[in-house]
Amino acid sequence: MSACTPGDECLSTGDADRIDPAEVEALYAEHESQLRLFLTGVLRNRDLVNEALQSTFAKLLESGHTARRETRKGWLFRVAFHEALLIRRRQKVIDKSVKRLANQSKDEPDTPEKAASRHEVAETIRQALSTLPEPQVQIVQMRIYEGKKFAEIADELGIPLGTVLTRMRLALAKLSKSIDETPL
Amino acid sequence: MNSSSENSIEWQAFLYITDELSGDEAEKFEERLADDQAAREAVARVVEIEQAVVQAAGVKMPPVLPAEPRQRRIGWQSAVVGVVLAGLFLAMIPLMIQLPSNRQQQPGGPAVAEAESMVDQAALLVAVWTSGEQDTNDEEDWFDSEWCGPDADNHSGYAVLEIGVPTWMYEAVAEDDGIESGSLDEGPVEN
Repeated sequence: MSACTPGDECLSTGDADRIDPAEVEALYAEHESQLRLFLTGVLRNRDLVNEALQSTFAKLLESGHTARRETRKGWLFRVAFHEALLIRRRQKVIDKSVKRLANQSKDEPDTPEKAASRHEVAETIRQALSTLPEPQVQIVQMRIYEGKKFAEIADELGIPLGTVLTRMRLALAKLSKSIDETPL
Repeated sequence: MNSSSENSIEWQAFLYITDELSGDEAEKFEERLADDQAAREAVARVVEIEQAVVQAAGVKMPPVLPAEPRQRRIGWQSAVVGVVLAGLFLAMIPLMIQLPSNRQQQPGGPAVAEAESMVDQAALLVAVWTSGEQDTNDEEDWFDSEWCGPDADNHSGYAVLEIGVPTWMYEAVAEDDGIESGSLDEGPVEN
């Protein structure tokens, strides 16, 4: 695959033959967590996520020098997405179980810093959940903890699907905002 | 990008990762992911939120409404257990009342009573042993009266004669033991 597409994210191939390994290391330290989250959203399988992540940074070593330094984050995400699609097509396996997703995240070995950060985010979310109106908490619970589809939730609670979606959307916006406001 | 469109991207990303989009919608969103860095970051963001919500549940579950049926089921089981326990307790009350009264009648319980009985028997034995020959004679009297008939009182020690032991037999025994015939003369042989 040619990692560099015509556009402003590319440099001419003449700038350098290869990217500096120390820079790859620094990019890994900076973006690995977010890339992993993104790939988890696309692949929903820890092993496939690891594979895609490895392929992405292998591509970075091979052709990262073709991307401009200031656009390398976008370049990494784009390559990661491309790798994820390739893997998904090859594997033909997509586990979309939210519960499995959660379990996988627990299995990942974290560094102490990552574990602390994760715990802090979780604590922030917990506090944010406690401020949500009960109907919204109920939808979050049924959707994320119990893995029920929105249509199932609507049936079970006897309320319109639109109401369920609205409550979940409001809850998601508040949870997202709570993370924004937390100094990490 | 304004807040509304950010919410829209996050919402789309959430629907995408939770598989709530239809095939066409998911395909469209993935086309967007190929080019839109904000959409990619939104996916990462909602995955982080989802994982944090799950992890927060591990820290402490928030108050939840659907727990009500569980509470109802647990309440029913607790009620059954409570009724059974109450019944057992009520059944135990008469036993608990009777026990102290039995203890008053027989202090120390059955084990103590048995021990006292053994002590009594031992005391009786000691009394028998320390009471001397008189008691032994009593026993002999009992033997005589029982086995030797009313005539045995006359010479209890020699009642054997009356059951047909010959005199020569006594004499022979007396000779073997070196007993003088005179001593035998004092015996019942002469009778």
